[in-house]
Amino acid sequence: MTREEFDVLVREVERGVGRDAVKLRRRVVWLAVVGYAGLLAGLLAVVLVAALFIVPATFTHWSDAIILYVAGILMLLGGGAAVLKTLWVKLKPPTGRVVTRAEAPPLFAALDELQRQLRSAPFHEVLVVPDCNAAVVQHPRLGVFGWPKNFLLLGLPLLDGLSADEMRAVLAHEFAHISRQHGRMGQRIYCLRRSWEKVFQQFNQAQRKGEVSLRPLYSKFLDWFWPRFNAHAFVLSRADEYEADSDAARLVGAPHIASALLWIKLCGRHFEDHFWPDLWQRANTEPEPPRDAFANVRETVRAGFAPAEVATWIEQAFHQKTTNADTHPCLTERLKAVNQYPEAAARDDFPAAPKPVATSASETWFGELLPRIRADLGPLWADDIKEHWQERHARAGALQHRLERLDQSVPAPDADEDALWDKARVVLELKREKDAEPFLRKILALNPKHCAANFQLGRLLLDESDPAGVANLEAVMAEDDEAVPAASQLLHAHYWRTGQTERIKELEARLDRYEKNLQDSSTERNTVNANDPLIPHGLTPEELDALRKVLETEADLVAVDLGRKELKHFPKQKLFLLCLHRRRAWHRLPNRDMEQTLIRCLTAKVQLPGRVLVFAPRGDFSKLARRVAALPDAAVFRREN
Amino acid sequence: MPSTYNGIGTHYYGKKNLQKRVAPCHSCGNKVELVSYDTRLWFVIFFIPIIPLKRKRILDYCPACTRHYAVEADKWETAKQLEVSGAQEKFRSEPTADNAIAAHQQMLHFHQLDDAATFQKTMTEKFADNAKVQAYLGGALTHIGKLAEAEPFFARALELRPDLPEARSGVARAYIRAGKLDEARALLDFLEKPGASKLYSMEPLDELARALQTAGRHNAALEIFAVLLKELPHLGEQKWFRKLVANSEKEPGGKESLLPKLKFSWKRFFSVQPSARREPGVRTTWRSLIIVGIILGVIGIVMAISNEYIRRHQTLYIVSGFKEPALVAVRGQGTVRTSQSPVEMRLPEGRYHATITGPVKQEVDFEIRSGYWGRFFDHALWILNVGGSAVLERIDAVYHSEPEPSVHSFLYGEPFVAVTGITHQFRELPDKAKVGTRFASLDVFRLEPNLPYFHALHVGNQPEALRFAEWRLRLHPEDERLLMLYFAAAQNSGQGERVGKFLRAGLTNRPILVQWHRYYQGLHRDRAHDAQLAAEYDEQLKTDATNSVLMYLRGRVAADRTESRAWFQRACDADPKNPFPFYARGYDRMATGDFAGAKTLLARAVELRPKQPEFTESLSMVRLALGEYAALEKELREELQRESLNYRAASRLCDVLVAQNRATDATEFARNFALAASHKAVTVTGESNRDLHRHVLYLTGDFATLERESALARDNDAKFTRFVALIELGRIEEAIQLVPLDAKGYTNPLHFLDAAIALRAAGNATEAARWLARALELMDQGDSDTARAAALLRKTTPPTAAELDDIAMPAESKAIVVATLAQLHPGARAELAALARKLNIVPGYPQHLIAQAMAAK
Repeated sequence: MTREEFDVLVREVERGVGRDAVKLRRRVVWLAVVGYAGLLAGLLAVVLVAALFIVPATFTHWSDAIILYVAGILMLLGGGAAVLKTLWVKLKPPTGRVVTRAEAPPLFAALDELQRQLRSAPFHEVLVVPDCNAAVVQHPRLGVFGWPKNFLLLGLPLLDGLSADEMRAVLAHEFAHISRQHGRMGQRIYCLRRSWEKVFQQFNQAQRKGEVSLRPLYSKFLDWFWPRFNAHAFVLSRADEYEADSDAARLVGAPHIASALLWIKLCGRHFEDHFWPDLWQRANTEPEPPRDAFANVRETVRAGFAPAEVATWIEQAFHQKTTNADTHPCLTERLKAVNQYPEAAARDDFPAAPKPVATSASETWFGELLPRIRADLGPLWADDIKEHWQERHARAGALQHRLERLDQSVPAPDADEDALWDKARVVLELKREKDAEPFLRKILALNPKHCAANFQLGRLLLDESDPAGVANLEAVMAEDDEAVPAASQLLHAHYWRTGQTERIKELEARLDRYEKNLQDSSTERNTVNANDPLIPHGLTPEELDALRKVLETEADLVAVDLGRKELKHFPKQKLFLLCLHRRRAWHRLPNRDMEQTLIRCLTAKVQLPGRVLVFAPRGDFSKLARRVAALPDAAVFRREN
Repeated sequence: MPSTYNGIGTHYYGKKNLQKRVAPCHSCGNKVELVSYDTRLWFVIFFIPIIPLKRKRILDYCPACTRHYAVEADKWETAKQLEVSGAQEKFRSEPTADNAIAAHQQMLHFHQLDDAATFQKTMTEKFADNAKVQAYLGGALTHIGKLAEAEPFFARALELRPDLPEARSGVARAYIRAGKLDEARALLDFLEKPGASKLYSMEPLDELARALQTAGRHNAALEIFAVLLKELPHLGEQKWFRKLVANSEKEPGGKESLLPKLKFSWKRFFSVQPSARREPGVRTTWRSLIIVGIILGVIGIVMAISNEYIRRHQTLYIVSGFKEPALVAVRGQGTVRTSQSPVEMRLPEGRYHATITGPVKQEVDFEIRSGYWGRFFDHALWILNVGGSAVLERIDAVYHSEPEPSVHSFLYGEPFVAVTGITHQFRELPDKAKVGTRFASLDVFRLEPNLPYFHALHVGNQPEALRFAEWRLRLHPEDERLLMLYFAAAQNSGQGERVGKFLRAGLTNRPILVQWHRYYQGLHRDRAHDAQLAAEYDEQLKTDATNSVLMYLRGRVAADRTESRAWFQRACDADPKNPFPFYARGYDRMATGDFAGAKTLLARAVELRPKQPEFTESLSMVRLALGEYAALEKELREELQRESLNYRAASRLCDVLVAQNRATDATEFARNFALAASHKAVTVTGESNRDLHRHVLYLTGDFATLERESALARDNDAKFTRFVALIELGRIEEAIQLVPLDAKGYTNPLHFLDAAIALRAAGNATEAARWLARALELMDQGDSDTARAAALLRKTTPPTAAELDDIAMPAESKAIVVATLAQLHPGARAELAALARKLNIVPGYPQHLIAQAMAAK
């Protein structure tokens, strides 16, 4: 199903069953049940096949039955294990600094109050994490079979940046998810999706010759089931978000949830654009990750972000539109839903950035424990990413050596495109990405079609919100089909940030076409059969003369017909069909070997402005030869006598 | 993939456009010469191509493992032309280095090595100063195994760009091959920098380390191994790497091992680690041994479980030969009712007690037990045979291309049977099986019940035949045919005592089985025995005074003929439907020469019991004596039409024809009959045809031929036949030399009487007296009639008519006695000779002798 078709399906669900939350939830549950039934169908098939052996065995004498029993049990164990392996989804439980009730009584008092007010399920563990987010995670201990353990994840930057009331609003949103069973449903849906992804993975593996497989059956079921389930789950998740915001606004107050939402956006951008890149840049020089990475988060947040950047981020946040790429609605719609949308924003008069809070939620709830939590979180994070950090550091060492050798070997690489690209690549990884921009521009000055340079420059420019990068990415997509998905992803992110909904739609339609045509176009250009649409060759007289000169050198050749296959996907490309007629005495049978020799000879010599298939009118090509001969101006060569 | 079965299937034939390249096989990994070619797939019969199916392109055929890819030749050719021409066109329109590389790659991808070589020249010229292209060409040539050709390209690339890793690696590899290891190491310095594995392949460094090791420079090799291990720590767990490092560390002066200590891991133990270089041959490792051990252990557990299951679920088959169902109760296991087919009962192995009720009441203790391996391989079978009544047939067969008869054996009589080696339980053996296969079946025998008896005789196992007969007669004493066969076989084999014991046991059966009594009486025809039996019958008659059968049997052992006749008459009166006394009376009349009177009585006996052979035979004789030739001939011919192989009827017909002086007809008939019989049943007619032929020769008086043929014959009867012929020819001296007086196996007194008659007729009175004395000696041991006849022969005075009447013997026997008496008493010769001639009605020896000896002078 294409993105466009999926969008239509989502709209249909929203307008239909999506209007009634209860009905929608029930529909998703039913679809989930159908999904599980689909997964378990394999198990049922295994049981049935095993029963074909075991049941007759019960009516047979032991000497014969023993083989049947063994076969049936092996089938049951082997097949059952294969199906259960598909169903078994292992989810990693979240990690972070565990905060206990004894350590932070104020936090747990606030949590207890919210739990009581929303009648939600209790949390089994509260974790402080380094992300700029808060979340409820229900971790099913038995995978698809459930038995959840509830985790509340509190991002330290959020706790440091938001007041206690704002943070309560965030928590109320999360409690609302768990109280209305959003979380459990979400986890179940997640597990189901992961199970089906495993099935997809197995489908993507090459099928062995002669292998008995249920793939055709599963494929048909998936074609029907998967988009429907996804669309309904998507609409349900989005409805859950609105509902959770509404509950939070009712309990804590709409202004608190509104200011929290805006601040989370800004904090998220700061972490995405500055905090994490700066931190990971240190991996190039430091062999071990810092164990105090989050020591200064509070200070950074309290000092506020760069005003110029903040203005851009706020503008982009208000420009963003809800798309079907994310279950969360855009900021504007969420604020509107809780009646906190500033009317002036419609006139591009956006609100100012929220002022840093005097007393943060972390200070209110953790008090003297806060430094310890901060100190504990750093090593936890460092241990978690240590391997990745060390790999990056090692790679940086090799890159540094490569850069030094490049500088020694090619001291003035301005004229060497390859050397420039090698250097740009190293710099992109080793230094700040911005440092690579001069090299990229030099490459493009030498070769404006250089795909990799265009891609990287386009990416750098869009990261800086410079729309000039769009042209670079468009150039990449025009030059290299295979770069279309990656370039589209960058463009999609840019259009979304800048609220260019129409461009997003165009881009998605283009991606749909690309994905649909990728296989078809390749097949179209690499195969020829008698039923392909044909058109006249369209060669210029000069090109024809050149061709005839080549053909005249072959004494055995008496006639040649030329045509073209009409290409649907890449019409600018040409595929020529050159049909040879070899001299043959009337009393002799066709000599295929001689024809093949002639074809091989001409294949090497003939040069036409496109792909060329040289063939003789034999076997499967007989009909094609007749159709080519019937084209206008097809007879490009006739030897007299 | 083409495949054939017994030469029928699909097969590739032909090789065109052959291309070869040296490269590692995709499947087995061996560096070999991979071959690609066009061929054609044929449907073949006996590997002869019959129908062309498809043209194929075989790609990268590996001579080591034979794995390859096969694509349709036309599709391959089309894709090749389009892809290569497309890439070339792109290069022509935009002659960049990248497009040149793409075009060259397409050519290599489609194995167009010649075109690639040509295009390579263009690339070399056009991009002579492009290090990237030069390095690519070096790599491409290395990939197709042209290492020497690759070296200049790498060198040029290095010259242009000394920093280029591909160029440095390529040149370094050339140095390694050339043994310039220090130069190679200098070029590969970038791979020894920390983090190099994150950017580059470490394979050249691995090659360098191995080369250093081969060159004996172990310290340098260990330095590089240390770098490899630091960059790729997982190598420390790979066996091949550890082995390599260990080889260098073995050298003297080695320091502490750089290899990390390996903790035992089940996951690693069971995982198959890729080997850097596979060593040829089979290697036995602890790992493989333990895996084999585990597999064997699993197999052992499975076997133990299945063995225990079998032990607890053995099958007892319950069979019965009775028509009525029996109830079999196995203590502690349940009760089953028998049926016509075997009934199964599942039991764990052990000792059991069964109680059988129904047609037979029986208590049986039995044990079901098998050895460990026997449970899998012995094909054991346990059968509870109700009353031992069912006959079980075992057939052992070995399958051959030229079938041999299977071995049959029978199990019966035992209430419980345990047999092994039965592959087909209560089902038939298959008609066909693989040559050399041995199968055995066991099933309830349901064909003609006496067949096992004949089978035992056929295979020469007479004791088994008698055992079967006794078992069967105990269960079915009414089976008179088997009783007759048993009696004859036992008597012939000199087992009279055994037969006596067996028959004696059946004398008390009720209702009384006449034939058992008759055979028992005939077993010991002496007066003391008869007197004992008479006493027993008298005792029984006291309680059962009106029993016709008892009266008849009593009459048979009476002391004299008068008494016998009285008992027979009483028996007839007591039960007019009892045929035996009628037969006895008819027999008595025959002995006196009253054939007309005998006929009436014998006809009545035959009417009451038409299938009794001695009844019909006696009636036939009487009618022959009465001259009912036409009727007899008609009846016999009708009988022969019904039963074309009836030798008895054929013989009798010959008798009738000869009696009518139609000797030629008789001879002709016998010849035709024998021929027809031979055509119909070749295997069973030889002996019977011979006997018929001799009988006809005797009837027609052709004794010379009879003597000549029997002299040449090798059969058991030939000697006596020749004796008969010599007697009839008057060559008495030769005859008694052939069968002397003391010849073994001759116990019939009539034989000696016949010889005595012949000797006396020939004037040799002395010798005749010796033969007569021997006859009398044997006659004294006979029944009361024979004894009375002996007494008459000893008398010096001629017998009276009453004395002769008192002797009840078969007509032919009595004729011999009377003829002897006629010779002994010349004074009464006329009367006695007349009586002898009258009684001499049975065709066959010594009919001619008596006729000649008693001829009216």
